Amino acid sequence: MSTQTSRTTTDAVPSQREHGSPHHGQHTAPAGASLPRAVLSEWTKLRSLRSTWWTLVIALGLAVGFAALLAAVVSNPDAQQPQGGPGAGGLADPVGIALASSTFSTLVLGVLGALVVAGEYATGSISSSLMALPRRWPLVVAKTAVLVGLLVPFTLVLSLASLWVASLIYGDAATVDWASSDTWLAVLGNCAYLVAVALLGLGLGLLFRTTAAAITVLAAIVFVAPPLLGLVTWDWVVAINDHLPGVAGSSLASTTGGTLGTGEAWLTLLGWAAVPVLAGALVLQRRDA
Amino acid sequence: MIEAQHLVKRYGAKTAVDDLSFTVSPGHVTGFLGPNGAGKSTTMRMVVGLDRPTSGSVTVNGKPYAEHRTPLAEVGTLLEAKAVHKGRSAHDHLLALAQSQGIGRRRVAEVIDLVGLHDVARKRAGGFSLGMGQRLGIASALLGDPATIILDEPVNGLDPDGVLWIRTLLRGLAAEGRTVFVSSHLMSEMALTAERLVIVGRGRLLADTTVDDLISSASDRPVVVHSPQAGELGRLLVSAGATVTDVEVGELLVTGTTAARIGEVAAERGIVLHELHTERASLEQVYMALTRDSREYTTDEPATGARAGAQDGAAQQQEVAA
Ligand SMILES: Nc1ncnc2c1ncn2[C@@H]1O[C@H](COP(=O)(O)OP(=O)(O)O)[C@@H](O)[C@H]1O
Ligand SMILES: [Mg+2]
Repeated sequence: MSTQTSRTTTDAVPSQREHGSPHHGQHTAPAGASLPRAVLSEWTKLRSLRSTWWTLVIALGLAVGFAALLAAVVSNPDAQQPQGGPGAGGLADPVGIALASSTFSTLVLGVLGALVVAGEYATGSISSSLMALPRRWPLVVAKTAVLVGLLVPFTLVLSLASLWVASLIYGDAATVDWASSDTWLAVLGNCAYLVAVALLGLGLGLLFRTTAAAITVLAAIVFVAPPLLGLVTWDWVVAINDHLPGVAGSSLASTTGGTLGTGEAWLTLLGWAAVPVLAGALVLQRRDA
Repeated sequence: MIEAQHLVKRYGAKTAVDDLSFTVSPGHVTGFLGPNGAGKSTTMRMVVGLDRPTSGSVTVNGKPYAEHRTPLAEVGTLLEAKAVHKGRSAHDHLLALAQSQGIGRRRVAEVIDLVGLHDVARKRAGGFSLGMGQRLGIASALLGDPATIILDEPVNGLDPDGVLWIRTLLRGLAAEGRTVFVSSHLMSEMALTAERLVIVGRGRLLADTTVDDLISSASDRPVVVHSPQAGELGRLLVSAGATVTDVEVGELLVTGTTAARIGEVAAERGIVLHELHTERASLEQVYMALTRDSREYTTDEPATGARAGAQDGAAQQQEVAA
């Protein structure tokens, strides 16, 4: 073998270019792994999957569709209006009703969050990712940053689109006061709710590693728990039920307030977003890939 | 350069890797050989930090893998299991890996060309054939132009063209001065590719040797003698300290001496010889004998005639390993 030269490598393949050897330095040395580079890499991964874009299309479609539906139902004069019923000259909380349409999209974005990690376990590409970032925690930071970076503008568009469509349908039944800071705070709160559930999905993906388990637990927390826990009157169960992500979300995505105060609602969402991700990062750090 | 020291990996009661120490040095292809379940994949995963050793340590290019600033420029790895997202194109998979290390886009195009995936680089990797997937894996491994390359069973399932391609590629990489560590459960494959061998069975080191040494270590090969006076010759050889087995009438299998010595003894006593030759133990037979006790499923025993020679090879080899 000692008589072979570096050309052998390229001669072995049909289409060839010069292949530099590490010792002859034809390539400038790579700059090294870093957090910003990890973020760029995760962005490439996220944007290069069709499932990412499908998820967003579905989330947007569901939100706007339900916004139109809810708006049509509550502005129908014959309909009963149990929540936010008509005040003087219209509905008390037209913004809150329009944004309540996001509830189904939370699950979709939660699935997107779960897929960001569980999709890598399912396909085995997690090994590639961990070999590129063997310290591991930067991978979690980068995935979190990319998901938040994508979903903050997206959920803003989703919330505003829902609100706008609803405002068109309300007609005389209600008006959305675009000049009010309460409206915009409700929109921001709705975004926070959606992003928090997506991060909850990411955290569950890190903890459970399979899409099925992560999505099951996610659906349990977002959809199944509220009606079930609502049947129990023990204080501590009531306390838990009052601090589910959906309760915090609807408390914020409203101009009239909800079960939780603003500060408590924001903290609750932060907890749902951060704790599973942090726990998942710890698990990732300790367990075999 | 890979240096493993007293690596141990246990899964519950099962010890997958058992006090394994070895060094893989640059400049040649080192085969990592052992039957299925011997602990090769587990060892390789510990080298690149995917699995944590129960005890012991391993360094690559002088440091634990995770401490390298640009891991993919130090070590390129192809694992046994596919490590590519099915929904992503080959190009995007490589680009994401490159971006994480600050490797330029030009290098992505280069490795795609190098492995011959140019035409399918923008297609989803989920639709790739086994061979294309393996080429993409090799492209990922070479992306950082690494000094050390680790490949787990790279030829599994490849067609003969693919096998030849990988063999030539690996030799070329080693000739450039890189450390090339390739696992296989087939000695026949390693015999054609590797110069050095680290052989394991049931997680333990059986031999750390070169292909040449392994062959010559099987020097105590049996000598086959055909003679009409086989009985007399046999008695003479036994009294001279050799071990003699009667194979059939007129045929002896002699160990513990050489064909030359047998010829001399026969000449001294005027014994007629019809045939005198040393059995050639193939590398495959030496390997089979070496790993016989550690194979989890024994299916492919060597032919009966070779067994005596192979066993002698095993005895020798345990000395090499010790
Ligand atoms: N994650 C795991 N959990 C339990 N046992 C494992 C695990 N990974 C490997 N093993 C066991 O460890 C042994 C070595 O496996 P492996 O390293 O894959 O061997 P090889 O690659 O040489 O075929 C096998 O008996 C295998 O069943
Ligand atoms: Mg294996």
